[in-house]
Amino acid sequence: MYYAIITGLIVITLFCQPVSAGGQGSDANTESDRSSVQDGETPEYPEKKTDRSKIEWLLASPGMLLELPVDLTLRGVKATVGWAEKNSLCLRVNDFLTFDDGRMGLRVRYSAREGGGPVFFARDIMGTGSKFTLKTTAGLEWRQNYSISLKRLTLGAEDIFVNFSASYFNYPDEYFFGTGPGTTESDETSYRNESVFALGDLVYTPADNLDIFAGACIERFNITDGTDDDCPATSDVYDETNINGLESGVVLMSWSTGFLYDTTRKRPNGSMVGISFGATVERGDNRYGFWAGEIELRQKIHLFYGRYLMLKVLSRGTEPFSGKEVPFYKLSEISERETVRGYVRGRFRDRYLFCSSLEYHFPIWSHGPSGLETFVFADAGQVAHSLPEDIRSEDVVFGFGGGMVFSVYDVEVIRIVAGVSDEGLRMYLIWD
Amino acid sequence: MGLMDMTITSRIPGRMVIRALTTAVLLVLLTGCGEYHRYMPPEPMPQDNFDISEPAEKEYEVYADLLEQQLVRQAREMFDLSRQARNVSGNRKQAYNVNAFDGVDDSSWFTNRNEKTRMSLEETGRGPDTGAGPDRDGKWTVVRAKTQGVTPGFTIRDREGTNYLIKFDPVGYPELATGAEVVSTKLLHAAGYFVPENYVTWFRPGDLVLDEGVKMIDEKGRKRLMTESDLDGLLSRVESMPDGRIRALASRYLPGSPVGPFKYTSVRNDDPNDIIPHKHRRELRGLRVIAAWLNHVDTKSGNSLDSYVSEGGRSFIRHYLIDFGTTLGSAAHSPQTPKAGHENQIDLHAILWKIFTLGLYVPGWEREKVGGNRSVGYFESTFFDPGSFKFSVPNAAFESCTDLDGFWGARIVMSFTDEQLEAAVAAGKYSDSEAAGHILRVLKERRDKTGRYWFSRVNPLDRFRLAIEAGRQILGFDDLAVEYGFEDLAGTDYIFDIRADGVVICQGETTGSANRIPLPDAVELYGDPITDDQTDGTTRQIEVRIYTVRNRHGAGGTSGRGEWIKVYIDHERESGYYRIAGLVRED
Repeated sequence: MYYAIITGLIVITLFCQPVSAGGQGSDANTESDRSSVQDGETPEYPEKKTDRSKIEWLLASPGMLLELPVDLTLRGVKATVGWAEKNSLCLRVNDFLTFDDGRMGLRVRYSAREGGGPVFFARDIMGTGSKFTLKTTAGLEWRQNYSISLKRLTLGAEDIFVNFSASYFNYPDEYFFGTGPGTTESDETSYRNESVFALGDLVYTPADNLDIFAGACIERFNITDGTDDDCPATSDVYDETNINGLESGVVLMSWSTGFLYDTTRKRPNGSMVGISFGATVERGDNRYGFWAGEIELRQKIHLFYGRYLMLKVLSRGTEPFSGKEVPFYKLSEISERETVRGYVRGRFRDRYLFCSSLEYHFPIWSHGPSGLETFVFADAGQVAHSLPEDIRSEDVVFGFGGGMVFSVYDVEVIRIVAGVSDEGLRMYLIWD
Repeated sequence: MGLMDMTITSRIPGRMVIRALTTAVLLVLLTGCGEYHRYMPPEPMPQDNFDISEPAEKEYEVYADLLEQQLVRQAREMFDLSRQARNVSGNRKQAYNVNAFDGVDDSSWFTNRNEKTRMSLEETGRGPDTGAGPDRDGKWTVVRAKTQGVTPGFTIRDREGTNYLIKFDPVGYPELATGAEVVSTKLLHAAGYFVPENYVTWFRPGDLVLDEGVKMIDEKGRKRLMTESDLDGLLSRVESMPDGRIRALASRYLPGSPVGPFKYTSVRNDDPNDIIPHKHRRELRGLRVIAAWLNHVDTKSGNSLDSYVSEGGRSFIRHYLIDFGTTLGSAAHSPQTPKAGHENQIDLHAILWKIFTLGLYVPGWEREKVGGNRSVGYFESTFFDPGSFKFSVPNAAFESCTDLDGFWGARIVMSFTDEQLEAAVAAGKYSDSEAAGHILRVLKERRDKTGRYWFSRVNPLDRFRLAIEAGRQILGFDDLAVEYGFEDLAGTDYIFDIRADGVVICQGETTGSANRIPLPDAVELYGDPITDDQTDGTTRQIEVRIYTVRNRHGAGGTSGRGEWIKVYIDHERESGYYRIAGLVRED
């Protein structure tokens, strides 16, 4: 029955278009609209023709009803955009949030780990290129992060800079699954990581793309029970005999040095090499002390017309001093800094970490300085307690997925990543 | 080759009768009406310059319109079952304002110009200009700042008191935007549209005097008085010549009062003369073809303007196309990109396709690099596809464009001779002959691509006329595809049948270069002897249905008979002569 009605309507629509034998549709339906006709010498204005005949309206009405919520929403968005544009709202808001010709101002930042919040910035306050930043972010479960930083302060010479930063963060639902590659999801425990730190770096830039640095840092950690009710608190499962660092008031001091050579930005091909090495000791009790090192290599290989491969290799290691230990939150973690995406951060921890990643990037949209890039990736990595005997192929975990990056003038503004591992799907969102 | 080359078979074969009957029965079943209808030419469109009161000026917001065209309207049309049914069946709604000869009458939107009567080279080069541009002997008073659009600009009043909008070339690209805008102005005017008088002019910064009380919206969104330093800052962002002069485009203010842009979708409710939904206007649908030819990708509503004009004692709205800085190889603020014409500004289809294919497919245009002559920008014909050309913002009228609308537009494009194009390009006053030569060459190549594409979509017979040859009345016509060299004359055949009251009374085919069809004489039309009752009516109508077949005996030839065109001809019994009543093309 319904088919018959719909078929009939379609046939009527198709075959009974109001077209004369000769004209190409010259007699559309009409309706009167003479609201603005003048009185007096008013001529007989012709009648306005409508877009659709009555039967077409009838046929279109179910779809129109179905689409009504979408239509109203989009119209609302359009009206808002129109109002904002008419009142130069973007310019005014930008003007309101910035001053001194845009060198100072407020912007918004969000990341899943830190949450969202305002960031105050001031550029060129102590030399060209210097930047002061004050950040306040908060997220679910009262995740908090407050930080202040001064970057690239010049010290007379053009190629020597100093960076300072200090931060307080309180992450109430961090996870610990045990150490080593053999842990399972059911080993999940939760802890709160409250920390404050201050660090300073001296950076020497002898050539473009090359930074050589040396710095010192002091940190204080309070590790207490987490807030996630779906899993036990870490202190319920572990104690000081089988985990290091499950306590409050630990103060660590560290020194590090290294260099960063990066030619990947704004170039179709390039390499990045970053090497750092340092030592950390505990102030006071002197229970913790370890070496820490990291090597990161990236190779950007241009394929064709904006498509490129990015190969990443990362290796991190912590080795305790003789008779000392490494607190568990200072061990290397899988899924930290987007390593082996698809796993919960901290899913695998141990002294050593090896990761590699292959990303294929391709552009999908551009307009002026803005661009939208998509990428797919495959990650692999493992943690190990000691080298080389604990390196085993069966301990390697994998992650796959894809993401999008929206950038303006080659600076990332929004980054969305979806990673899949054998433990499920994880989404990553960064808006900066 | 004459009438003797034609094979004519009088009377009707049995198969044709059966086919006609079957078709008739089907039509009866489907539409409930099986009678033959005499062709009636469409009612002439009423004048659209009746006196009206001045409408309020409509405002335009660029991003709101972008959202409307890109999302709101697309979503609405996606759910419009009647529209989808038409699209799926290929029975798309035809333009409302087409006359009996598949054209449009002159109106406040359009004037038939070059396609109707070839304009002289001087007329083509002059375009809409009524003068020589702003008076350069006196100072120019800056009376208004241009706050919209991607390029800086302002309005000046010259010594004679005439207002001009002044626009510039982007730094590093001399003559790019100003040249493109003037060339396109000439061509769009000759095509038939109302456009502003746009002049290439030169001035020195010292020629400018800032009027008092000129307001502008600054980069912080604040409306404030314009200062000399604002003016200096603006001029520092435009291309200057080595001798310090600045080349600019002076766009004379349109006559009348501006009342805002027109939409490409619907009518203006406050204009009683505006009765045809704009997306069903032939001249707006067909503009798609002409705009694609000129690489005029920025055909959004904001680049149109309605002006309330007074002429002949009447005041009414005239509809203008404006702002052609984004045409040819120019994107106004920079050279055009290879993407132009291939993707919308935000093209969800293209984005999804790239994601789906992981970006592995790279279309030819994406491999192109912008370079070459800086006065030309990026203007090419290799990857130009008249059929799939996309504009920056989806355009409702262009999306409604049928093959018949496209054919109409292509006829206009093809009406431009090489010499006319040369005259239009010369008006761009390019100092670099290489730049002018490049633009001219690409215009020709794109013109021919346009004609080749659209003339293959419908039966391209045109300019039907009646004549007497060897004592017999004939229907003559031009095959535009052959005339412009897209098809081989020798390999073209025209199959025709002639019907009276829906019944085939004569059929045949012409071969070779014979583009004439003999019409039936009175005996064939009325029978012998002619009875009194047959002479009662003053006219009797015949339908000449013509199919054009290309290279049917060679490889790659037309399969079947292609699209038909029906020409309706009234036979005036008393005079014995025919008169063409109108024509219908198959879409």
